[in-house]
Amino acid sequence: MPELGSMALYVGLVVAAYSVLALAVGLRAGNGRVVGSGRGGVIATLLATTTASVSLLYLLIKGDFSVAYVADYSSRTLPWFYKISAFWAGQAGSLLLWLWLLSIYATAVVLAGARAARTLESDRPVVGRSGAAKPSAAKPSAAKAETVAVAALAPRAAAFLQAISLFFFILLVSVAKPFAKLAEIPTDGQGLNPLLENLGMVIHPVALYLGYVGFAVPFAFALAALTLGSRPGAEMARSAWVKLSRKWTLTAWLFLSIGILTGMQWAYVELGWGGYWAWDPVENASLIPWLTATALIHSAMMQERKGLLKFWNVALVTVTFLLTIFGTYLTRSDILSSVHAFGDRQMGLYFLGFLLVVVAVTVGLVIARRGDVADDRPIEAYISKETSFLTNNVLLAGTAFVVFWGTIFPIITRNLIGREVAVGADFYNRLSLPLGLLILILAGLCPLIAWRRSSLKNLRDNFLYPLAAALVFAGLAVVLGMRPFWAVIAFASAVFVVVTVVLEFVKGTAVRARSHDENPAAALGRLTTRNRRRYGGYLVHLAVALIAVGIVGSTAFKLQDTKTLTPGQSMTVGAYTVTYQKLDMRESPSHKDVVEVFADMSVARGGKQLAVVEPKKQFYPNREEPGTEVAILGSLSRDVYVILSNWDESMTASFQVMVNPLVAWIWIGGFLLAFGTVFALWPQARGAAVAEYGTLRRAPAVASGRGLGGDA
Amino acid sequence: MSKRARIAIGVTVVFVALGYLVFTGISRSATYYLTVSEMKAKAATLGTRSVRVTGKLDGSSLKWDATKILLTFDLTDGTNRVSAVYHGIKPDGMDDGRDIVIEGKVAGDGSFDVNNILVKCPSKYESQPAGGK
Repeated sequence: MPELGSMALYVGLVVAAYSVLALAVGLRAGNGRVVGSGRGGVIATLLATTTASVSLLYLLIKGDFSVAYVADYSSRTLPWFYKISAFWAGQAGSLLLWLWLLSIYATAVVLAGARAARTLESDRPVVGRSGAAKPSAAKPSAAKAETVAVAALAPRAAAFLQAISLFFFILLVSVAKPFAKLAEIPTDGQGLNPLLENLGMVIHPVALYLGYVGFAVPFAFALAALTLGSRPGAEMARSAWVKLSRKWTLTAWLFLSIGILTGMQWAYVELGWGGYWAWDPVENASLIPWLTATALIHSAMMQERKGLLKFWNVALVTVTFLLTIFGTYLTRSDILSSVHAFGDRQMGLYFLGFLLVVVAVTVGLVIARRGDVADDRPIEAYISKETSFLTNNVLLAGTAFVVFWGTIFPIITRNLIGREVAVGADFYNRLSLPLGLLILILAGLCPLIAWRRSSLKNLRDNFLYPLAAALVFAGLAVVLGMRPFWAVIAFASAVFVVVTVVLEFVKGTAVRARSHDENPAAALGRLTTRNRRRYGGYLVHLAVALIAVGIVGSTAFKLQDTKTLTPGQSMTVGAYTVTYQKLDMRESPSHKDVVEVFADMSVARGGKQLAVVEPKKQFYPNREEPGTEVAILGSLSRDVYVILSNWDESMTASFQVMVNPLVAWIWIGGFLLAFGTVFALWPQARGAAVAEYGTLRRAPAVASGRGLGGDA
Repeated sequence: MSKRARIAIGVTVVFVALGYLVFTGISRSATYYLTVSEMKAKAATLGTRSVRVTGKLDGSSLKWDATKILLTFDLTDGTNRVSAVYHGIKPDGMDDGRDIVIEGKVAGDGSFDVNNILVKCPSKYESQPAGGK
């Protein structure tokens, strides 16, 4: 089985190289058969990576400890569920997972391309069967244009995806061999780090990787568009790359968001320090591409609708892709986690080399085809959707830059002055607060500012009530004594976004209910499902505001205390009194062989007992140190977070109790964000958006002769 | 001046402002990353500056004073050692010989006043023996 896996990797390497060559040569020569053979190569690559992945899974589940990777991450007693997650617990397995996902995506892309080509073939009259996809002389329908673009771009994008996969194949057969054997076969494996035995840690890496790998697709589409040259029909396909890759970008963004949020949740529940974000390099590595991808989602709309920011979009998608590779490397290496530990130097050089190749290819293509990335028209007015998107992009890219700079600062200083200088959390907090606030306010403003030019009246109609609500909130908060002021401003900004978005739903529903004579529920349903992109986007903005509320609340108003208590004693943190009842020991109900020491702590507020929680320490058979399991009594307004520390024979024990306000809203916002993104991605009947849009807007916007430029 | 140029100027101004914020932010919160020996050698010049020191935990030196909520331990790098004092509960994973990063200041008596303990590995899910390779 290990031999099969490692053979599959070699075969895959050869087949992937062949498919790149076949696709490139076939596309250049316009030879459909060679292109078809290249497509077959892509599918064969998927077979090879699937064989390798299934082999590794099989070995992990079976527990073949002759394989080093299995011995490192699996063990006899590990539940099967975690044996599967051991797949991505180490470097070689993670890289294999990357490759596997990439080849799945590449196959999806070639199949979409083949389907589009077949559709064109069957539509075309019998005469003039030439290789290249050519649009008919009459103005093609939107659907037809999209099919032409897919047929032209997909095989090219697949060639780039396959070229990327070559890098991972090379890593897997040289420096990170998942099937390497051990000279001496151990009787049992090391098993997983107990910290990783958590549902969040099973979902988190996979979601993160689905996100990371997903950005390879829009990147490949962008490069594909640059290779089209000036052949017939290229014009249309070229400008279509942002539109075609939209669903890929959004899907990747969705997974990356889920990956980041599950990582935060895991850190909060499992790491036991009461927080969810520490500006750790590995966390930053996932946040930076998320920021640039968020910018891309917005700037892509500028190109799709207005032919603007073409160069910027290519730059953003490239940077996002490079950052996902950087993040993959960072997560799996020691480069930043400690002083003077270089981790695997050789691996670092491979990654650096790959990044340089990607930059060189992209820069070369952009220079060669610079005419393709010139904007169709200038921006028309200062107050318009265009400028608000531009501002949003500057802020998101700026934030990404700040976090990136702080993250790599130790590497830079190590190389420049020979000494590592790190920046602390205060650096990130100080900078991300103003930037985050501005981004939050824009999340309320942007969606409602008109394309091209916005009038004062338009601004007043849309923002009078939200602004009033935010100001009233801020005034009340200050009068009632809420401090610090930055928290007041942040909450007021969130109120602004929430009211803006909710009003949009209410107004739209009311207009539709009146004009179509529908009841409000039906009107809301039809309004939103026929304008999925618009309303899905609103939901995501609403989600961002809720997440901001959670972050601000838990950062500004966190309370904590640490005390040593004897049974019967209690400690008070904020409005909560926590009483230590008893300390006891038992076998863990969920893990056999694990012994846990737990304390019964009753939590009361205003003299009324709310619950008894059990913070504990778990003792693993093969670990020296116990693991802390915190107890969290959660509610929408606050979490009471209890940690059991040391104890002695007399049952005197030390506890840390925290009151973390509003944390639940981060997770609620996370669910809404996922729902909103899926809602926006869900296919909608063609033409529905165009037909519906006019009925949405009341007289003022229409009277200005411009409308608000929706989803037409 | 064309609108394009003005917008370009606007974007540039924002980036220059950001650059300034980053620069001042870094000079305010920059902390040296030192080994125990480097820290010992520089102790006199560090003053109240916040630094990060890395070393291996000497498990036998670990002491917990429950009434004072005080954790004390030594970090070594083979040649030198420093006594660290931390007002707080012990984080997970402080095994003997584990790589630890402590953040804080050098105290008057030569010990190290710890603000924050970073135990290597929690965010990386390489298991311990393999992670050390």
